[in-house]
Amino acid sequence: MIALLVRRTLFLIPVLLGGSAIVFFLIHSAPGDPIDALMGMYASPEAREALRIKYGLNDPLLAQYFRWLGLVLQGDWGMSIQQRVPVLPLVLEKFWITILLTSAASLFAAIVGISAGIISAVKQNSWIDHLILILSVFALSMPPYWLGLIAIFVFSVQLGWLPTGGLYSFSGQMELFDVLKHLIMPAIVAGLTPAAIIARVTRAAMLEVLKLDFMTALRAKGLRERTIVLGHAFRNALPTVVSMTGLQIGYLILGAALFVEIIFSWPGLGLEIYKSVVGRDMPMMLGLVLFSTFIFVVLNLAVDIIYRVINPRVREA
Amino acid sequence: MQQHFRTIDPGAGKVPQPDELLRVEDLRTHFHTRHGIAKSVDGVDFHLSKGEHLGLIGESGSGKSVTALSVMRLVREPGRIVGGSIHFEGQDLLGLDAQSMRRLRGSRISMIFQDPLNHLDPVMKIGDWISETLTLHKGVGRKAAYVEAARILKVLKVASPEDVLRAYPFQLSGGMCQRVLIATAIITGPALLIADEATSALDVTVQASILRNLDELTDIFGTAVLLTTHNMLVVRQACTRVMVMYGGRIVESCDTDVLFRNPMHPYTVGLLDSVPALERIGEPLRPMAGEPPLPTEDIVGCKFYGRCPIRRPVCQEMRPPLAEVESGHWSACFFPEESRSKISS
Ligand SMILES: Nc1ncnc2c1ncn2[C@@H]1O[C@H](COP(=O)(O)OP(=O)(O)O)[C@@H](O)[C@H]1O
Ligand SMILES: [Mg+2]
Repeated sequence: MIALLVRRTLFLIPVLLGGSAIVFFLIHSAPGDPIDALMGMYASPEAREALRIKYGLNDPLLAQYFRWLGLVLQGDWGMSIQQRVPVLPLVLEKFWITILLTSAASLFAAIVGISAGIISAVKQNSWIDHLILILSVFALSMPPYWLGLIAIFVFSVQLGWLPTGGLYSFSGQMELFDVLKHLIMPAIVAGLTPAAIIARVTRAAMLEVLKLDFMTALRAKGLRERTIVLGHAFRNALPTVVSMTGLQIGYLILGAALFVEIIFSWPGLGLEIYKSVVGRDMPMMLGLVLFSTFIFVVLNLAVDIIYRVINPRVREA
Repeated sequence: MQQHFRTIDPGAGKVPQPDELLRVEDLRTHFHTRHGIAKSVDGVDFHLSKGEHLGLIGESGSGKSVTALSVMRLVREPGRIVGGSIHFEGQDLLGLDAQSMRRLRGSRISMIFQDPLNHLDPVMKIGDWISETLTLHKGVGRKAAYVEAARILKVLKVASPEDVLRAYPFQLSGGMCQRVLIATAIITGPALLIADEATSALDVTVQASILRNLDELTDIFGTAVLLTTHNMLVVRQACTRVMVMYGGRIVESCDTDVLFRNPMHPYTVGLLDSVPALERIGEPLRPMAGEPPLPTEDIVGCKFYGRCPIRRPVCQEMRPPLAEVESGHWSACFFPEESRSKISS
């Protein structure tokens, strides 16, 4: 177990190196000039050239990559060209704001998805199973940004119940409550697709377990149906559910949260990535994407370890 | 036709005996399938006394498991108990509400199964599995339950019970898993243990030792056993009385040694002929010709008619009732005397 942990952690190094290279070269091969974005079309060629030299944009790409990598490893992630502040502290600050959104979305997705999956499986082919199926197909086929716009239109514009976006109001006095009010809509919109996927996977995993022979043995012991479903069947389905849920949370951080943050102006990594792309802010873009990759990889490792811990057949083998 | 059938209920019939534990009358359990209604248990009567070991023998598909599950009221969809009655310790089981029935399971009536590994929770430690039952029915704490579990595994001749309690099912042999199921079933001191093909999946030496274990433990607790099997030798080792099942019906019922000495139903005779017996080593085996009828087939008369070597027209028109042909010996054949003499000659 420990050996495996060490092996998997060491394996992160090439993954991250490869990831950083891909990110670096992809971003540098994208069209658009950061100097244009920064100085506008009408700056003098001399001023442009001076800035190019200052940021090392004239060197060969490979040299730029290794210089960047060396600095990144030393904790110097460069300066944001647009905002003129160091990238790393900014990324870390945005990271916590994104974590707030993704945790809320994950919590929503896990609770709703797992409950719906268990209910569907236990009441297989009943009206409630069919209703859950229809709802999850709906959630899966609606793009999150579209759902976000509809939600804003209904709950903010029409009903006026919730703010249209942002992290908090400027006039807000009850701070926590205010943030929660801002959080609820983007969290649910971001969590809807993962909830649907988790529900389908949980249902399938539960049905697989419920048809096994030991269900009869559990009933023969005199256990209540609730203990059998939650204490035994779900416990057996848990490894499958956990690895799927982990995957969905990773997808949330990298994918859905990006769109949702833009729609709801949620000032996290996603919105920052968007702004850095629009502004051709390369150091910022690099820092953000590298950091997100790092989080995704670490999360995957964590899910893998949890999977092993809760699955005795893998653990003891 | 002869005059010798008195009642269709072997032994139970009239007044319940004082030591009667279980009485099943005209039990019918049907499965509603795409191919029609399968009458898997088609009017079964039997009774069981306190502490008695009763065997239920028959080919695969004859309805043994469904009978066993019916007594537990654990038949799963699409199966349903559609008729009859089951009385256990004076209570009408089919009339009980779900909660009262649940309280009986695992405490007064326990059950063990053919494939022990698959009847344990794969991700639960053996110790937790056994103590779960004890905690549920006796309110015993986890620590005390573990001690009790280890004690009962010792009686079952398990060399290091503590190691077994700490293991997961997949780390144990089939025989060990069955000992665990037996320990779980008996730890609450039930009045009845239903053993559905409990040794069929194990090899012969393990089978014999498990049967001895079962004997010892049920003696200690005074537990009666209903043991289903397709193996004549298992019945001979473990049961004092035996019922032969065919097509969802009991066709013969008597003391075990009587069955081997003097079978009174052509199906039993055929079954005995197809078993390799010590006394007949060297003689060729005679597997029974033909197949049992499909359970969905609608049969008015005797279900064995299609394969019976002594059949007559009447057998196809009327269901032969289970009747007492000599004291304590019941047969569902119109011509019980002929079964033996005519067939094995
Ligand atoms: N789940 C089921 N669905 C449909 N039919 C079933 C089911 N279980 C049992 N049966 C029917 O009941 C009959 C008796 O089955 P069973 O009691 O398991 O036989 P045995 O235990 O004697 O081998 C089978 O032949 C089959 O037709
Ligand atoms: Mg069976």
